Amino acid sequence: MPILLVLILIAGISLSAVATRSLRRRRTRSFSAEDSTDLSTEGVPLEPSEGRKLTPSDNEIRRRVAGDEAEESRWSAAQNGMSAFSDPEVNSSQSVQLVNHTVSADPQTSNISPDNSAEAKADIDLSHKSSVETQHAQLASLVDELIETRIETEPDIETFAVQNDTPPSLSSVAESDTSVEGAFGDQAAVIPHLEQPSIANGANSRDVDSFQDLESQQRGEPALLTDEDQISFVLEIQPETSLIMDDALSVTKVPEKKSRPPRKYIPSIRTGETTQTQRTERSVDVQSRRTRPFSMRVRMVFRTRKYQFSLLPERADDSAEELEVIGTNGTELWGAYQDEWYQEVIPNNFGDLLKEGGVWESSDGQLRWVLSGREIYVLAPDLSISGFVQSGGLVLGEQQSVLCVSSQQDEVLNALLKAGCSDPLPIKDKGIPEGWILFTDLRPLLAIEHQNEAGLYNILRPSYDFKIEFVGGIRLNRSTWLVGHPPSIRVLGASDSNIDVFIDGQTARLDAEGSYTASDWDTEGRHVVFSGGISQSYELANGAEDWEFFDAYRYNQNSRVQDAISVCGPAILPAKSDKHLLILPRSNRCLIGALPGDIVVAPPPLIRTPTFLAQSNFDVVWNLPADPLRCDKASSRVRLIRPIAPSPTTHFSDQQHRRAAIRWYQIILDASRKGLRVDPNSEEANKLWLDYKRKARALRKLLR
Amino acid sequence: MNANRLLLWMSAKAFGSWIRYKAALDELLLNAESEIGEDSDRPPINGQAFPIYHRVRQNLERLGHAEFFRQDFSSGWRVVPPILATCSHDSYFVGILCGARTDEIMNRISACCADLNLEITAQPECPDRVQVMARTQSQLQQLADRASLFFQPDAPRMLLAAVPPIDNYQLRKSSELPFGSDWDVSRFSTTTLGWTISTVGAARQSTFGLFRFSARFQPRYYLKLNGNAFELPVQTGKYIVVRKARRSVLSYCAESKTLCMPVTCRPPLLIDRALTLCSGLISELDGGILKYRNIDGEIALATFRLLRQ
Repeated sequence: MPILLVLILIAGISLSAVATRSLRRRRTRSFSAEDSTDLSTEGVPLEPSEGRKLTPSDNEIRRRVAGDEAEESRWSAAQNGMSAFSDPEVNSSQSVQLVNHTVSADPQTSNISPDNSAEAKADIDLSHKSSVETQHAQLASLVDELIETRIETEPDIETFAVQNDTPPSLSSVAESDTSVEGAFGDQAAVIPHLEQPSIANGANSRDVDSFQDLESQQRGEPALLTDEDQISFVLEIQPETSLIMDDALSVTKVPEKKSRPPRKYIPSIRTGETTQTQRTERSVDVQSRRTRPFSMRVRMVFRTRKYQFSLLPERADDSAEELEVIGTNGTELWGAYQDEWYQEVIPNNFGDLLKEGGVWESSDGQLRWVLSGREIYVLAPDLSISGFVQSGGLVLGEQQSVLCVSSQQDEVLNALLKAGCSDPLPIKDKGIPEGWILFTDLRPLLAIEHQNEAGLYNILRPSYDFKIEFVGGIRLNRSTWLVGHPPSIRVLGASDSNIDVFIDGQTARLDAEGSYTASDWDTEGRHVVFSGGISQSYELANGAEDWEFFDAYRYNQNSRVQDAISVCGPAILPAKSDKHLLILPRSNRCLIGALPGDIVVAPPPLIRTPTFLAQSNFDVVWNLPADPLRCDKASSRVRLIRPIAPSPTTHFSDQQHRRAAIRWYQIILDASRKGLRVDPNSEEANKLWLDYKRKARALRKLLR
Repeated sequence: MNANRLLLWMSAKAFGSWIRYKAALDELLLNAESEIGEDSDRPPINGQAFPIYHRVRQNLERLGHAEFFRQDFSSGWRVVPPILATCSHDSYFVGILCGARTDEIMNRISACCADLNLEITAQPECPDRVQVMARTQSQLQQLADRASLFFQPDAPRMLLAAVPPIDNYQLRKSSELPFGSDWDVSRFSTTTLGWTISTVGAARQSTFGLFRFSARFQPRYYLKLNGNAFELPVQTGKYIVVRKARRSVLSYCAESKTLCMPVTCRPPLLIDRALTLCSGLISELDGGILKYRNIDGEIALATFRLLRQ
C-alpha cells in the first residue's frame, strides 16, 4: 500500500513537471526567432482573451510560473556563466534586474539588450508589424499567461524600464502615486502597485506623454492596444525569456550604446496612497543598480538686478570631488560644490533643455543625471544652497517662484490665484530663459486637493503636507552643524500652528521667530525632531582644533639653502624646526650662545633695511656686531637676547668645535676691548656680560 | 551675517577647496546680502572688478587668517593656526588675532584679557579685528600662552624681513610666453599705471615690459627682461617696471603714519599683509589711493626698499 502511494506521488510529480516544461516551452517558443518568422504568416489578435479576469487561483499559477522562471534563470545563467544566478534564493525579480546582456529576437536583423530596450522595441516593432496581424488568435492564450507573468514581475519591469531610462508605464502612473523622487529627484519614475496590475485595466506600457490615455484609463475605459504596443508589451514584460532566446540563438553581438532622450516629468500626485515602504524599497533598488541615477535641479539666483538660472547636479557622499561628465555641452569637468551638489552647470540651450530635459553621464558611465523636461517648474529656497532650487511643488506659506513656458502663462496664473498667491506678476526678461515666464514672490495660502486629472498642474496645488527644515547656523556637512551655531528648527507648510513638535522626545516651544527649541536642543551630539509622523535629525559637532603650520611661502634669505624661511599667515618660521629665528639690527650680525662654540655670523641681508632676519640652531644670548673692532662704538651695542649663564663646558670633541670655541671667545673679547655698551644697560645684563667675558678669558688660556 | 561666520566655518573645516569656499560664502554670507556684485566664476581682471568671493579671499589673506592657492593646495585653501601677531608702537604694543577662530578661542581671550585692553572692531567683508593692547610685549606673550595661541612678535617687521625684494629671482620663474595667437594681450603702462592693448607679436619682440595674457578670463602675467620671459605675480611685475621707469608711486606721511599708493599699485601680498597688520585694518581706498594706517617709519622704509622705490 505505501509503495502504491509512493508510485502515485511520483507519477503526480512527473505530470506536474511535464506540464511546467510544456508551459515554459510555449513561452520560450513565442519569442524565438523561428516563431517570430512564423508570426508573419498567421493573424491573431494579440489581446487578452475576452473576459479574462484575475481570480484567486491565478495566484497559485503565478507562484508556479515564478518558480519556473527562477529555475529557468538559474539554468540560463549556468549556460552563460553568470554567477549571479547561481544563488538558489534568486527570484524572478532579481533575474530581471540582472539581465544585462545581449538578446536577439532576430539574429539577422536586430539585437535587443535591456540597456537599449526602447530602440530594440522599435526594431522589433518594425520587423514584425505585419506578422502581428496574423498571430492574434494563437497568442490569445499566451497573452493570458503573460499577464500573469507580468503581475509577478511588474515592479521589476518598472525597474528595468527606469534603469534603461525608458518611460514608465501609463498604468503605473494612473494607479500609483509613488514616485521615486527621493532617489531620482524629479525623474518621475513610478512604482506600480502590485495589487493593481495595470494590465487588469487594459492599459499598456506605453509612454505617458499623452494625458488622453491617462484620462481614459481614469474613466475606466480600457485603452486599445495597438499592434506595436502589444509586441512591445510582450517583449517588455518578458526580460527573463531574453536569456532563453539568447541561449537558443547563441547570439553574442552587443549593440552599441545609444543615448536616449530624458523622460518627461510626471508630477507626484499626493492622494494619500503613497506609502513610505514603497519609497524605501525603490531607493534600495536604485542603489543596487549599476548606473547610479541622480537628479539635476534647476537653480535660480538673483544677481545684479537680474535672474541667473543654472542646473545643479546632485551629489552623493561617496561621489568623487571632481568628475568628467558628458552632457549637453559636451565633456565637462565638474567639481564638488557642496556635500550635496556639484558645481552649477549653465547649458547653452537652456530654454529648450528645461522643456525637453537632458541627460548627463559620467565618463565611466557609472553616474547619470537626468533633468526630466516639463513646462512648469516650482522653485523654492533650499537649505543647502542660496537662491531658489527646483522643488516638488508649492508649499503653503513659503515664499516660492514658478517658472513656466509662455504658453502656460494663463493656466499657471489661474492655478496660482486659486492657491491664494496674491497678485502674481509674470516676468519675462531679466535673464529668464527665452520662451519662459517667471512668477516670483509667491506665498500660497490655500491648500488644494490633488487630482489625477489636473496632471502637471498638481505641483501648483499646495497641500497640507509639511516638512521639518533646519535653517541657518554654521553647517559643516549634510546634517552636521557647528556647536554653538545650531540651525533654526522650522516646520514648513503646516496649516495648524498648534502642531506638536518634539525634539529628542521633549515637547518643543515655538519662539517669536518661528523656530522650535527644547532643553538641550543645542548641545553637542545628534538630535531628532519629530512632528506629525515625520522626523528629521541633526547633529552638532565641534570643528577642527588641531591646525598645523604649513609652508605657504618659502624664501631663502641668502645663498645658504638651510637658511630658508617659511611664511604661514603672519607667522614667520625657520624652514628647519631646529632653528631659531631672530630679527636683529642691521649692524649686529653675530649671534652668541651660552655654550662656547655657539656662534653664528649671519650673511648681509638682501636689502638695506634697519633690521634683518637671522637664524641659529642654539638659544641666542648675545647679539654683537660681526666685527666689533671695526664698528661704530657710538651706535653699536652688545644686545642681550635671552639671559642664560655661560656654560662651564671646556671639553671640545673635535677640531671644528675647538675652532668655533676660539671664534666664540675672540668675538666676546673683541667687543670687550672695543668697550661696547650693553643693551639693556641694566645691572643684571652687565653682570651677565661680565661673566661671559670671564669665561672667554678662561677659554683663551685653555685653548691657546 | 558677516565674514566672522565664514571664518568660523573655515576654522572648523581647517582646509578645503575653492568651490567649497564659494559655496560656504554663498550659504553663510550671501543669504544676508542681497547681491554679490558680479559673476562669481569670472576671475578678477583688475582690482575693481573683483567679485565678493575674491574680495573676501584677499581680505582673509591680507589679515593672515588663511592662505589660498599655494603649492600644496593649488585649488584650495587652508586656515592658519591661531596666532597673536604683535607689533610695537611708540609707547605700547598691539596684538592682533590672526588665523583660525573659534568660540572657545574668543572666550579664552576674553577671560585672559581682564587687565588688558581688548577691542573688537567690525570691518566690511572681513572678520572682525580682535586687538589687544598692552604696555609690554611680555604681557601679550603671557596672554598668548594662556589662550593657547601662537605668539608672533614684531609680525610686520619680521614679514618684511622675510620677503625678498621685488627684483629677487625667487619671486619669478623663467617661462615661455603662451603658445598661439588666440590671447588678449595687454601691456602695463608706467605712464597711466593701467593696461593698454598689445599683441602677442609685440610681447614676443619686446625686451622689457609687463604683459597680461588673457584667455577665457584666465589672466597670466609675464615679465620680459632682457628678452627673456618670466611668469610672476602681477603686483611684483608692476613694481619692477615702475622701478625701471624710475617712477615713484609710494608716499609716506610720518606725521599721520600713513603710507599711500595708487590702487593699481597695491603691494605684493606679503608686503600688503605686513602693512595691514600694523593696524589690523584693511587699507582704505580714497579717490583711487590706498592708505595704510599706523605705519612706523621703519616699516615704511623697509617697504620702500622692498618695492625698490
